[in-house]
Amino acid sequence: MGRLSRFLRLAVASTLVLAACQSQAPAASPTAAPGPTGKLVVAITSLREETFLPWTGPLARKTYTTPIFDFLVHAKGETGEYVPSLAKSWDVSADRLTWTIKLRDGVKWHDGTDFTSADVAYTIQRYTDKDSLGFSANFFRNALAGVETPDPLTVVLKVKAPQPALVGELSSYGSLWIAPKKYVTEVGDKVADQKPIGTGPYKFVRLAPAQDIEYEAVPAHWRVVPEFKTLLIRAIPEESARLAALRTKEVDISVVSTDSSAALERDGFRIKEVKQSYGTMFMFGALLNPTDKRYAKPTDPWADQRVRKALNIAIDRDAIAKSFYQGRATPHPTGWMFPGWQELGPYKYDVAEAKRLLAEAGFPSGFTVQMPAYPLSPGTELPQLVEAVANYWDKIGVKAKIVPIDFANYRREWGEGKTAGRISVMRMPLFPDWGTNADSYFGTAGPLPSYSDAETDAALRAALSETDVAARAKKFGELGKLLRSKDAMVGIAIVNDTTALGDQVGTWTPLAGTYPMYWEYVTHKQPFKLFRLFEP
Amino acid sequence: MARYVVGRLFQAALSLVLMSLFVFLLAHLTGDPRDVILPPDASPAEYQRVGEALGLDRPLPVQYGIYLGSLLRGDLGTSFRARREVADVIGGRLPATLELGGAAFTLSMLAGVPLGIASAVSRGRSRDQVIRAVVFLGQSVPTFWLGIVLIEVFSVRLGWLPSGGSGTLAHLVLPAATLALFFMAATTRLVRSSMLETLSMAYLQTARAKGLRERTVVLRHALRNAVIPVVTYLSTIFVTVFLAGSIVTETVYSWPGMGQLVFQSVLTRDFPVVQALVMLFAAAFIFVSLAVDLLYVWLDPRIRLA
Repeated sequence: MGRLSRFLRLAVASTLVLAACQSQAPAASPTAAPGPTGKLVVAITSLREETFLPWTGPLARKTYTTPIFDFLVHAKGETGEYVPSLAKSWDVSADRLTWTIKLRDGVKWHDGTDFTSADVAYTIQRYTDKDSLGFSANFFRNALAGVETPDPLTVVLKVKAPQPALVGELSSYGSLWIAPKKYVTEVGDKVADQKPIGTGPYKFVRLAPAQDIEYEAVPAHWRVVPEFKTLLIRAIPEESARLAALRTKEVDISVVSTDSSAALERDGFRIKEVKQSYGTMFMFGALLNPTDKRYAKPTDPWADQRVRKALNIAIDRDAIAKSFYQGRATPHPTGWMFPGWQELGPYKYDVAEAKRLLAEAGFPSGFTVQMPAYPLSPGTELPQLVEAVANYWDKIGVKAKIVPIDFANYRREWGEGKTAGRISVMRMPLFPDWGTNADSYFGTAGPLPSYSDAETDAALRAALSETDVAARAKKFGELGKLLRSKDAMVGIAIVNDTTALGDQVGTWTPLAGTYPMYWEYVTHKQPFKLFRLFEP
Repeated sequence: MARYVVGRLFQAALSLVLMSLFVFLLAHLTGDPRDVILPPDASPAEYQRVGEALGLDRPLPVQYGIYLGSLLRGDLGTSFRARREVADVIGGRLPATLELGGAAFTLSMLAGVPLGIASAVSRGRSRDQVIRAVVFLGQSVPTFWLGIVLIEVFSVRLGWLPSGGSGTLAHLVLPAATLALFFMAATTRLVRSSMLETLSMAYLQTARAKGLRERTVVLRHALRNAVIPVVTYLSTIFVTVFLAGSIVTETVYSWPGMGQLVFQSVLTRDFPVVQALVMLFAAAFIFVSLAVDLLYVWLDPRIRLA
């Protein structure tokens, strides 16, 4: 009896304790998981072309197209690691000429129809069409020998030669987001471009020209369930107006300049740096391989490497990174993010040595140089950077004539070889593959050629033709070191773009480089921890 | 009158054809749209391809002929940038422009005309001096700076009005006030100057001698003559500013009007949009001028249309 009595007392006591605990816990329904709620308002500078299909405009539209669409491969936010997205897996044949891509099953377009290999093939076909404006259209036209769809969940890409850059171009680093074949062919490009449907975590709701685009969360998305039910991307061209909108809480996140970031931080805003957004540098005019027909024999002062070195060591990059870029940049000798860029030796700021080198090269009184100045996107600060560098060069007797010009006009002159006597500012975003841009600027047949000699040309050719991923990275790294050893350009810094977050939002992981996106990963201040296939 | 109107319409048609050639050539002088549309590493083959797609590979006279033919059929072409009909692109911005332009124009007139009259009739006195000081400030303050200050005060500090965008009456207040201030000040000066000249005329002394009240003398007899140069000025700014849009005001307030559209289209060499907008403004200017000429006849019966 005593044992039973003890058991009963224990049972009653346990029951009472459990009941007490239950009464303090919030009442939970069997399906208590929260869904997307609230509105996220993001301010960017412009809605640009206000078009959505991948073949109808440039790369910069990703900021507002990618909530609606997906890529075959996802590049992770700050590491750039490639993970499966619409493609569940990809295999490359032994001869590296055939890529077999297995697609994810069960993915739906926003109109409820199935995503299949036909959509991928159709997107590639339209992207490589003659009137496509896709950023990497040229790459795919040159690379692909054919596209096959043996079944609804398999795409086979045949390439003309091994393409180590292909996975990058298929990823969210590139511009080949996948469009719906059935919808586009039924309604036509014009309607599909104005009322797009995709497989992305947000559905398109409406577009108000030059104002904003509204999206609604897909509640059970296969990749990520957004925490915000409504996404509104607003175009606010003027920086001071964006800052005002942040302060009045009309927007939750805004792209901001590095100039404004310090003041915003002091006022309690969080500044998210998009690391390694782009590198800035100055490219020497008319320094091509003399066999190139477009260029006269190089007679500019910087044909002498001592002059190139002098121009480099006359600039205090640490000061520019600290003051001009508010500490949100890494000083860099070339500005090019080739593999191993972090290990390239810096230039020591030395005005006296710069003057000595100039005198030794035959320019004791310096010389005059023309410096075109134009803003780019990214890189709206480039005209001011030109002034800053001109001031440094002035101290060693190099007098700069700064010429404000529209880049579109200057690009044509550059391509025609009319850059003698000029040093041109440039910025280089982080792209999926180093090859395309390296060839543009350092290849003798490139559209914007700058520096080339027999040795760098050979190194570039070797890197471009390398098909093994690791070996290719190594060769581009070697090219970077070679260019540095020849003082082939005046690099300034690797710049981090800045975005301000209001205290109404929690966390956000942007994609490194290129353009801000991944709004579907923004959390509430107290994150809901909704479904994510992978962390961005 | 009918013959005059028909004659003017015929002249307008000729002017517009000449304008179409002028704007076509001017647009093409700015450069090649492919330099803006294509990425920096675009190959010559891509230039050729996109040129064919956009019709830029044909000789200029052929391009103009195609353009003029389309224009005469009412087809404004397809935007290089937006990839849809220019009429759609402009139509998407026109309501916002008319809204802001109409509001600013109305403010300019409603404030400028009475202030100009008040300043003229109280010439030399403190009221005149205060109004002239306001006019001086209104014409000196840069629009860009004014917009930023108004946003800081009324949106950020006081929280009374939104900092930008459009959609409600509250969104309209600051941009309309910013755009109107300069032209209100200019209108006030013009009305004042014109009224001062008219008030000194002999016929008004006769009116006073007949025992008419001063209010009647000013508003009924003087104003009607004084307003003629003001009508010319207002009609000009109506088209060039309020209809064409103010790029500065629209940029500061993120107002989705035609000013920004013109600016972006010129920068991106979107020739079809630029050409269509200039033709639209030219046509508006021509027809507003015609309307003003007819209004003159009503204002001053002495005027006869030649």
